[in-house]
Amino acid sequence: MKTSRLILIAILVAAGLAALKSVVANRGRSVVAYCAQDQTYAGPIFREFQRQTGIKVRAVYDSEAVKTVGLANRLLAERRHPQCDVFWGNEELRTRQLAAAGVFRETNGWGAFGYRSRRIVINTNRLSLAAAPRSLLELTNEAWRGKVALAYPQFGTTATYFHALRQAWGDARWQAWCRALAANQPLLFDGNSVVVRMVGRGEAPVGLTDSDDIAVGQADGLPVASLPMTEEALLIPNTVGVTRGAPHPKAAQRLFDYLQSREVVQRLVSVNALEGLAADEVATPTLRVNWDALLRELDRTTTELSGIFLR
Amino acid sequence: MNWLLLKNSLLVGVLTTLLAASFGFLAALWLAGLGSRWRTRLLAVAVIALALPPFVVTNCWLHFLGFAGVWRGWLPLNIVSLGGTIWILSLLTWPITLLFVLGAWQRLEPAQLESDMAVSGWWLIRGLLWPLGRTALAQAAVLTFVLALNNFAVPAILQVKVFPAEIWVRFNTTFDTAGALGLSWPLVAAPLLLLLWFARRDFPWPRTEGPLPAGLFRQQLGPGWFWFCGAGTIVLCLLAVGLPVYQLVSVSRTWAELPGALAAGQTALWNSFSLAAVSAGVVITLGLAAEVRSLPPRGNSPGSAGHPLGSFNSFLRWLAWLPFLLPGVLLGIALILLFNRPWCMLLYQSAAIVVLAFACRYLAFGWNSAAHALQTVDRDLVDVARLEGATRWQMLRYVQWPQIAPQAAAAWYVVFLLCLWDVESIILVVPPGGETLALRVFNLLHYGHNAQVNALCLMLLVLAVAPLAVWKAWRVARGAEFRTPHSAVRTASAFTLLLASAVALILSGCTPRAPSDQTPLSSQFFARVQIIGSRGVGVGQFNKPRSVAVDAQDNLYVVDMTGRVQKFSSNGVFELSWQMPETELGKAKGMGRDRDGNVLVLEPHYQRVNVFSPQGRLVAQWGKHGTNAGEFSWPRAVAVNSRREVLVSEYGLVERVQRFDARGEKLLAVLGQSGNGPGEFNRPEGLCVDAQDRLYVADSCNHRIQVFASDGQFLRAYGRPGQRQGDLSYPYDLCVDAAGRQYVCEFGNSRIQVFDPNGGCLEIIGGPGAAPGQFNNPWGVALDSAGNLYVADSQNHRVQKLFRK
Repeated sequence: MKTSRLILIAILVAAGLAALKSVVANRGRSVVAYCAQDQTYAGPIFREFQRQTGIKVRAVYDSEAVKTVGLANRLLAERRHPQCDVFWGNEELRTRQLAAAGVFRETNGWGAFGYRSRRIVINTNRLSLAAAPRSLLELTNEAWRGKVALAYPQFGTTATYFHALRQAWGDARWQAWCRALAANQPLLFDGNSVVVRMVGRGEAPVGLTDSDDIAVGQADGLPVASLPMTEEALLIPNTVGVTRGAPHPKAAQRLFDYLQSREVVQRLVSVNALEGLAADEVATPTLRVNWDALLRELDRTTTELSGIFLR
Repeated sequence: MNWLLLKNSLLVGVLTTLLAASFGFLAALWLAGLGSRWRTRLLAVAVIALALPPFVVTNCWLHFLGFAGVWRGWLPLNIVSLGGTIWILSLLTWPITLLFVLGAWQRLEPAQLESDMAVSGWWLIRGLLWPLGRTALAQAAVLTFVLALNNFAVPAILQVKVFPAEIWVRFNTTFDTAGALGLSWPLVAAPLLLLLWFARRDFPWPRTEGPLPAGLFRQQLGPGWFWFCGAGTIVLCLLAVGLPVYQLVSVSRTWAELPGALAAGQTALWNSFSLAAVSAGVVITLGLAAEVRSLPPRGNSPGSAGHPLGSFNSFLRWLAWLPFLLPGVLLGIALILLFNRPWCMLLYQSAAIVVLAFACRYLAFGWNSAAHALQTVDRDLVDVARLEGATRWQMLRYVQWPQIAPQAAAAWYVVFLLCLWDVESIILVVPPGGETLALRVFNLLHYGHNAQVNALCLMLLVLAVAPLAVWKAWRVARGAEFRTPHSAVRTASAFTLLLASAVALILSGCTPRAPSDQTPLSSQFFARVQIIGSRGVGVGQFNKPRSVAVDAQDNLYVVDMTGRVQKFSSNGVFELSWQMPETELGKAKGMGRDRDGNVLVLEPHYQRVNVFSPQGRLVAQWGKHGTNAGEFSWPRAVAVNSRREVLVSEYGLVERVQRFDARGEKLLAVLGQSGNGPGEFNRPEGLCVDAQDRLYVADSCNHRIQVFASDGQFLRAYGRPGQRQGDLSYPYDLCVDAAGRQYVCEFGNSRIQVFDPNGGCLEIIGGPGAAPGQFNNPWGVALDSAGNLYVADSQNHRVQKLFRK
């Protein structure tokens, strides 16, 4: 019996030591990346970077644990002693907020590449293209009462979209639209991928979501399709930034350049993580955002959105 | 402060607590009357209910009772509601009450029941069980209330707006951590007050055996109550565990994704297990150490202080609940502020920070369980040991630990489960390479990779029960359960068989699961039949499949009324699918394969031919609406000959077959017209070209097959309307094997008829029905290189594969 207990203790100690082993790798040949892009796509890109440069990428991925973007908060909390070298974001608002907070280096702090877009998604079994709504205004029609799915407008790219719409339409029109949309009893979910899933399941025939989430839903066999891009669409690029005081600045620069390379962007387009290589290649005029003004109005708009949709 | 949201949260919290407490109490009544073996098993089921991830349970119930739920037709309940939220949260949390109340009733002595045998049934519950268990019930209610109050994910999916949403807006959108903390006060204050109210009570932990024989309890409770509670508990287990687990394991793609998820997540798998195990060990050790340290050299046993403020240790123990009640991400922020400093890098950059986060969050469980466990130690033994001069360590090692080990192990297991699923506490501090399965699950969930998520959830469930299996194996090895060598062998054999079955089950699921239902077939050409797919709109499911095609690698392609093309491997495993460009006017029907390996798909409503690569990329699209030669009017079938020429049949305004060059740019010939004479057609629904470039046309409404030479010259026709051998009823498609045999798919007779090269009937396969080998309006057929036959069994919403002998 003593032997079995000793064995048990030894197993526990070994497990403990293994669990506690330091993950500080060879500092000279590694770079730490905080990545908000889909791990399924980002992982192979990091491995290819390591293969090409010999620099190991130690990545921390985001999780929609409770709501999006724990990494942004982490970057802010760690900014006095940054652990991260490179931040790979999948939308622009969060990156600009971090830049405004001084998280990135002063010059050439961050860049944008590729794009995906906000789209209306439909369930093709329940709705034909001819009958689908063609504009955001139509979503406030009584015909769509209780039939429109979207993520909470206070979070993620949906929030960015609503902020951009306010800037494009002006306060009065935007508020009227938001209130009309809220009054039309939309189904609010806690993520864009959930919106696609619910539309695909038939819980709602129409949804507002991101193009890459629609692509994932289609790859999974859901009967969904996106409506064509219109002037109400918002293009959402991926972003990459080097943190101020990055522990591995040279390796960070190499990863920063690599992620913005055509090779990487094409790869992301080929797996539908992005729609296109560059926003300026889009023929359809889409929403143009004055980001400085948007950031100034961020708190006020967020408060109004909470007041309209969190009632 | 949004008072409406707070009201919703409180409503959800209170009603969930009431319902979960009722369920748990009911289950406790039944389990208390069960023998040790069955009680252990049902406790394991309860643990699984606790360990199931909320989104798995929610998605399961949405599948059944959502807006498009499969049960909505006969059970008009809408799960997307406040009631649905309360229902699901109750299904997740009822085991808490069960464990607490069952633990409290373990202190029942036989004398209490035997003193008055007339106290039974309702009077037993009211007079004895309720007073004994109400404190435990209240404590379980507090815990359930806290968990329900803080839950955001389940209400969000079910359209119930709750208070945590406002906290996350502050934290996440405007990065206002202080504001988020400030807003959190109701979520912290309410449970803390309740804890303060019950602080002087102890926390009972369940044991599989107490001094009261189960038979006596059962007898006093009465058969009516016992079986009523039993029926209720069984239904509860089925709803809380059976349905979600079935949903998880019944999706074939879950198993298909499992090997890949396992390979990709090995590090995460190890991190999950080791971090949870180590953290649970640290929590229990710290709790024991704190209580042992507080042992007075002589006098009272630990925890005997009355009011919490009268004992500093008790106060700290009560305060330890704070990190558990706060949102986990706020704990993460605090750890960053404290430990993200140059002199702490060894800690901060390692997995130790994760262990620290877990330890802070769950210390209260370990500490309180240690305190309770030490209170149950035999006082006489403690006193004797003190008199002998035992040190604190010796007291723990030789006197207390042998008595409290089971309770400590149970507490360790609860903390282990909590750590296994925790994401909030560690998302801000996990070091690179320290990703756990739970973090990976939520990352994949965010991006919609549901099949991989399901596979990872299975892995997590296995991890959750792994300690139980290890504990069981250790007990068997120790011989703790043996009374006789024979029982030892029996126990070991049963356990080995159970473990082997579990491993076999998991391993069998780990291989890409081929379609089920391989059934022998009575046929001179085919040995057995296999069912591919089922009715539905999900991956690998069909809604009236009408056409099938096979490529050069024997991959199967299927189009159905969902407007998708689905691709399966040669053993029937789903590979990918893609949506047709347009489906507004109608769905695709008619498939073929060209000499380059591309898949041709017709769109009758769009009058065109689509050419897809095997990966689903549209490489060409041609065709124009019209009745003139070279135009299309309701194209129905397509075939390609050895010269790469494309043949397309049409019906409706025109009845003909047209022959084009490979790209559809040049019309080469037009064949046939409307009629029932030789070379005339009445709905040519299917086409096939044999090895000699002879064209076979399924002339469906003429109930015959017509055969043409490669230059279009009419050769022969066979078939007549009817059901006898050699008769045909609406032949919708056919294919020809290397020997010239024709396999004709009869929509009207719901069968496959096999003809020799001269048109003589060789065999009839199947008939109307839903069993394997039977058909319901089959619409299309295709042969692979091995001579296996695929049948689009449209009204059975499946594809059947007939394996060549």
